[in-house]
Amino acid sequence: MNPLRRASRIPLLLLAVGLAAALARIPAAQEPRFLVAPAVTPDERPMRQPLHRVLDLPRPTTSAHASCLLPMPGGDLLVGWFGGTREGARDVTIEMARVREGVVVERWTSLTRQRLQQLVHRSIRKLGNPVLWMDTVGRVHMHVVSVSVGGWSGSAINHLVSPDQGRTWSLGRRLVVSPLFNLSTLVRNQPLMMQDGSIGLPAYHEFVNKWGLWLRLESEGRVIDSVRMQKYEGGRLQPAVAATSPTEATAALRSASRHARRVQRNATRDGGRSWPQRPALDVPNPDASVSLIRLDDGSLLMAANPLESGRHRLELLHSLDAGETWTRLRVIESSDATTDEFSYPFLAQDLSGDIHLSYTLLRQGIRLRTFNAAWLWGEETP
Amino acid sequence: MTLQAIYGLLAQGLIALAAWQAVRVWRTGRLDSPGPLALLLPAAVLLVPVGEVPIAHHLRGVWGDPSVVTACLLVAFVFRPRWLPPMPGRDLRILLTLLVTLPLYLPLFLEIPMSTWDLYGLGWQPFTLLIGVAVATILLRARRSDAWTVIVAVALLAYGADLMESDNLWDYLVDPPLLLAMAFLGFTGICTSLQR
Repeated sequence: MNPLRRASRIPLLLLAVGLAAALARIPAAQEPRFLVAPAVTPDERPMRQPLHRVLDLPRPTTSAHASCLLPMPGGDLLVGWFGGTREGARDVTIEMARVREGVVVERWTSLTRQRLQQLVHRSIRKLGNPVLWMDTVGRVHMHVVSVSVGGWSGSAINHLVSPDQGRTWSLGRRLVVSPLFNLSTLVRNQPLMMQDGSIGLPAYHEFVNKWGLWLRLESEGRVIDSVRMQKYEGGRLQPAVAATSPTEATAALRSASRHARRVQRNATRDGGRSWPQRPALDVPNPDASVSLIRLDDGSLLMAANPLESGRHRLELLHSLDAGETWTRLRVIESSDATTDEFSYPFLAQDLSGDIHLSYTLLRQGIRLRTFNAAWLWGEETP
Repeated sequence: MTLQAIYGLLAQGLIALAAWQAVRVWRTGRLDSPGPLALLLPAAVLLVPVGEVPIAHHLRGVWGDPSVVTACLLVAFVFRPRWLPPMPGRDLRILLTLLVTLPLYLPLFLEIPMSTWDLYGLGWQPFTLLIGVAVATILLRARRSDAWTVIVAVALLAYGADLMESDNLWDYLVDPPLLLAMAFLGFTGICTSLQR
């Protein structure tokens, strides 16, 4: 054969090898199905006295915001938040505390900007919103927002893994989910576990436009799918998602629209493959983060600031119909001073059935409330 | 250090070297191989700290990592390696192929009703995208664009080897600077054709 013709086949051969290598790497994603525990009936729940504890976490910094919770297998609660001289300052760190029976047994600075720079090998200007979850072998994972250039709309998400429950971190993955310099992807609320071991992570985009994102990650943190939550009007961000069946979930979103100041809603019926917009909830929203969980009895609990403006009132709301309608259950915080802030709630329920609610207190600290169903449905006022 | 970080940091050194070579071309009108002194530039970018971290870390923070296709084009521009066949001229079909990627970026800026489908999403489990890329590459090769065949093959190999932070195949193939460069070349190519 002519050597020149043989040589011209090399690019094609190389292309064939490249295609084979690429095909081998494509993730074998299974049909997405949410991991949903069977609902506990009232008969199965042991009778308990009403429980309601209030704990102000230590304040190592002058400003604190965006707390998150992770109930641990032994009954302890891991609380994370970001703190510094002010939001967005270069001295902001990710702080953590371990709470046992209403007492802080340990507090430490879990992640600094400098440490994240070392892990991701790029400059980091500021840190933000941490979200924690635990895998099946007991490692704690954190998705944390960082900014290298500009404001929060220049954010990216970093996935870190800790073998020692948040004391030290190694890099899992830096999530790339935007084709434009990976600009503007953030997290705020907790992920959902899927039946195949993958993770569903609610995230959002806020550069120019604002919309919710549903990221599906392999157990080691690789992105295997990213779905935009449908948006027809206004900005909507910071989705909080609760699954109500293996294929159904509802998302409550903060409204950034001046014209639609109500908690926005998207829902899926196909395991998160699509998130059509649903009518906004009859709950006002002052452009503030909400938290949403499915309780062990199958109902949904939401924490929100149900106001047209300001964040000076924090309430718990309850839904028995998978998020279609909501009733107001409890006023958690309320102030006449409209500049007071009780914001960025985060809900979690532990294995014993106790419910934990953390939130930003006047931008100065993090307050943690722990209560049970007996208190939630009882007569006691907070 | 991870493989992805090594690629990202070396790519910043390559960008610096390509910028240096571009300035030389602009000033002298010809492109020579980079001398030993020029090779100090990427070393400086990788090693010299400005503030808390080396320059390459700042550059990664600003514009992230280039696609593998862009990196290959920069290598071709700077080193003119023998393994890479000669680059074709301003083939408008190549430019158009790249410009079809424009819808990747438009939804980020335009206030348009969005379904759950988006072009970027094709890159997560990219069976369809791989077929499209293979067909486009073979069609381009019919125009004797062996260089593009090799570059696309290298990008696919890099995807298979998990060379970049991204898990999306699109990020191995295109990036905004490449798209802008192609749009500029396409525009100047059309202008030149019209003048003739």
